[in-house]
Amino acid sequence: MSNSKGYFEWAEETFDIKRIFEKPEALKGIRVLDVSQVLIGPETASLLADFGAEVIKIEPPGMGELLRSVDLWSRFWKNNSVGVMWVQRNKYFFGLNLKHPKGKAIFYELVKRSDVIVENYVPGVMERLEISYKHLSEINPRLIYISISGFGQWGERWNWPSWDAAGQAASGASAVSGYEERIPMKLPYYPGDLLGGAAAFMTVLAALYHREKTGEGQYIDVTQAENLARHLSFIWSYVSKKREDWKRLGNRDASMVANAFKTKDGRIVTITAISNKHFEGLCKAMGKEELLEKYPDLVSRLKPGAREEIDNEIKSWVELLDGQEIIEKSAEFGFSAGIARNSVEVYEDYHFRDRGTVWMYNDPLFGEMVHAGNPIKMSETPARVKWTVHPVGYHNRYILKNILGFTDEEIKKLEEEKVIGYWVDFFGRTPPPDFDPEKDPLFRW
Amino acid sequence: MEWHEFSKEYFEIEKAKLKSGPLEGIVVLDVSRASPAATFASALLAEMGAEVIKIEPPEGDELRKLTPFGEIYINDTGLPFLVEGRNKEFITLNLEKAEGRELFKRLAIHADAILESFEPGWMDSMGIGYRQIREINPGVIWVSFSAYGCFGRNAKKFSKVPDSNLFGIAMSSYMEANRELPEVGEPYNLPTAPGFWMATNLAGVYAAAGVVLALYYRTKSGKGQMIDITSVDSMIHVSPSIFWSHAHGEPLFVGVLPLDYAVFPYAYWKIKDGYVFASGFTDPNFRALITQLGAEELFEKYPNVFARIKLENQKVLYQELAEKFEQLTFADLTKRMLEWREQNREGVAVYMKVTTPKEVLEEDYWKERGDFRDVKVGEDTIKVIEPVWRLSKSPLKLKWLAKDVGEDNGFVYKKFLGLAGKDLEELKKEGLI
Repeated sequence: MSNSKGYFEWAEETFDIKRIFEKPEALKGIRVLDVSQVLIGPETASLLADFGAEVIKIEPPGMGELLRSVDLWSRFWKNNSVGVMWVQRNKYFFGLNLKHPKGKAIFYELVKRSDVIVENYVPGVMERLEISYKHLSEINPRLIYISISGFGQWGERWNWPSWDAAGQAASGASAVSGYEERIPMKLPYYPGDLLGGAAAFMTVLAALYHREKTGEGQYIDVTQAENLARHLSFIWSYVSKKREDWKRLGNRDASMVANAFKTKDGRIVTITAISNKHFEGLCKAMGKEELLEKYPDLVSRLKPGAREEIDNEIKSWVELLDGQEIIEKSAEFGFSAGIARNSVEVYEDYHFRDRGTVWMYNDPLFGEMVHAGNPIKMSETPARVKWTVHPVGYHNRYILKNILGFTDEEIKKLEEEKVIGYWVDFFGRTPPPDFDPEKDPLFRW
Repeated sequence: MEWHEFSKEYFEIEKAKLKSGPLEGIVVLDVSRASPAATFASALLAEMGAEVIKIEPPEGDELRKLTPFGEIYINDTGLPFLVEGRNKEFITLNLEKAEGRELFKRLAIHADAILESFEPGWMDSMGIGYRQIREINPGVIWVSFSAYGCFGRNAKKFSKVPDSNLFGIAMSSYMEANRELPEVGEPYNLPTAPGFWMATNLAGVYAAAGVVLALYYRTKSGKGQMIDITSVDSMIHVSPSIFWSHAHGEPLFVGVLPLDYAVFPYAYWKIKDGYVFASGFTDPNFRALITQLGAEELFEKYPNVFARIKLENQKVLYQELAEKFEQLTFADLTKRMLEWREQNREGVAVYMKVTTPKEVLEEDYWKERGDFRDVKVGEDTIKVIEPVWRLSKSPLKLKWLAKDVGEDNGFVYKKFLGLAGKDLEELKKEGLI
């Protein structure tokens, strides 16, 4: 039946992003309270929201979260930080004062009706606020509570403050990156946070699956430093066995034929050949089949002299071609080649738009908008981006009325008592200039 | 009891050994070839307690041959495969032969998830792709790893291109961001990849997460599904640069290491005993940092984030602070930070030593957290990293490292297909296992 169609034709249809909104969401019915800020916690909660979880982001009224003050080159597009937009997908924004007794009471009511808590404050803060796992698991034993931190809830660094790059520095991730004779690289775009968020998301899903089978909730401890260390994988085994440190090798991969080279038109291309078949494809593309005869197996190609010879052959071949020509050759001969592209080249790549990786959509606040779509492409329950960041407290009324059954009068009183609140007129906080919240039904709910 | 003592009890390492992982009872077939991404994904599923059966061709997965500088092999297996072969069972099966593919189908009936990295469309054309397997196993979760993916206008044209770490790093624009300031000269100001397998490992994490999510959805719906994973999709997701290009219609100016494009100070400096990360970018935090360094007069010159983020100002400030940093050790800096905290003064400066792998292995922090373990492999002992994400009720575990090619043939073929003794000898003779 279905086999009558060609594979790619079938795959196009199966994963067609135009049909995503007709399909179910895997996490529909799961409610998440996101009490985190900056990147790692917000990204964890956003990944859950990509797949349909109802995520309520709780911020202190007024200034809201810290990252709202931070943008790339402090440019603030349409009054907002694109850095914040990056990690605030599909959430409901609740401006709630957790230090006010009534604010805390509202929070506890939400906890009874929620499945997951995500927080990333310095360990100990949640306990002082009486909203740690110890407190909340008594209210809701089915609760899955994830605490994300620099170094963990326990151990000698338990109360150290941390940023992404502190995790990079502590984990060895920086010390193995860059060139031996230069300062180690502070890796860009905050991988301590974003790689950590991916793993944190995975553990929450594992806990949800466990709860389906057993009915029990649990506590999760994920850290920036340890997560990056896990990514170093076999490097630890190598270093301990050799009893000497790992050297920073620039772009050269020590374990396979893989390096970066400069093309005729001045681009940087990466060339990789892991298996024999890939290496054979590369040698054929270069017209250097004798290399395959000389180095017929992977092990022979890794030895010091061989690696230099092979890299030199690739270098002198790449120098004669333009970047795009190499990419065409990779398709023809079956080896791995990539160009170090800039952000416009990725943004304008229609293959990645087809895949929803460069996700173009119409945002209710910002209009025509882009998002980095979820990388987990699922055929039955695909991820989707519906909206990005909203101002502090934007969904206060929606949450209080829909989930907790508050009346207009009660909400007014909470506003007067400063239990709940909204954004202040300050950079990074206000809605886009052409947007009028007073006319918005969601805000006025 | 303080929070760190209290919270530690949730995760007690000795008790964790007695608990079951979240994926106990789940069967995963990893039929990937030369794929670091799929190998990392199946290692994570195995840490979560799934029974992961790694299916290799009779001569072994070529990934076994990879090892840094061609130096260390244990039982003919290099370190990447050895370390990420953790908790898996190892069988052989020749998929080039029709009889081998029939055996694969019989195994696939028992699988909850199947991971593969062949050229998109190859398994389908051989009659053992997702479309065919779901006919005999409707709940199956199928993960396909590739470079350009199975859909999108270039998927077919580039289907022969294998995925790789550098490919994902380069094509996503991540590599473009990772380089030093233009004036330092080549090669340091050229796009640089991180020194570990960030793209393929990250793709592995997303893939493993996708499998767990699909399993969760299956408990509600009974339905399986297919998941398409690439390292470049993964890396684009962790790079904010396309937002910038959408908003401002130009490439994001990056490549300013050791400086940053969003926050300052947020950089590495040379200190007496190595390198340090230091940060303090909000006004109170900046004031805390420069006061601790004895340079409080700089605040008047750079009183807000807008003044500090300008690249020309960052460069000047970086140099001025560099003169302070190079006179200090990491211990000096932590002492000043702790004094500041004890005095309850406003603002937090964060410092962290840039630690090398060898230094990490000697630090008490990691020992107390139980992050590394010596594991016996044959006659050898090797230090490996444990699963580092802690779940209080259903912990992840490290049980063993990669075994020899086909070591579990007897066990797995008996358990799932009832084949033993003579049957296996026959299969071996025919070159099927």
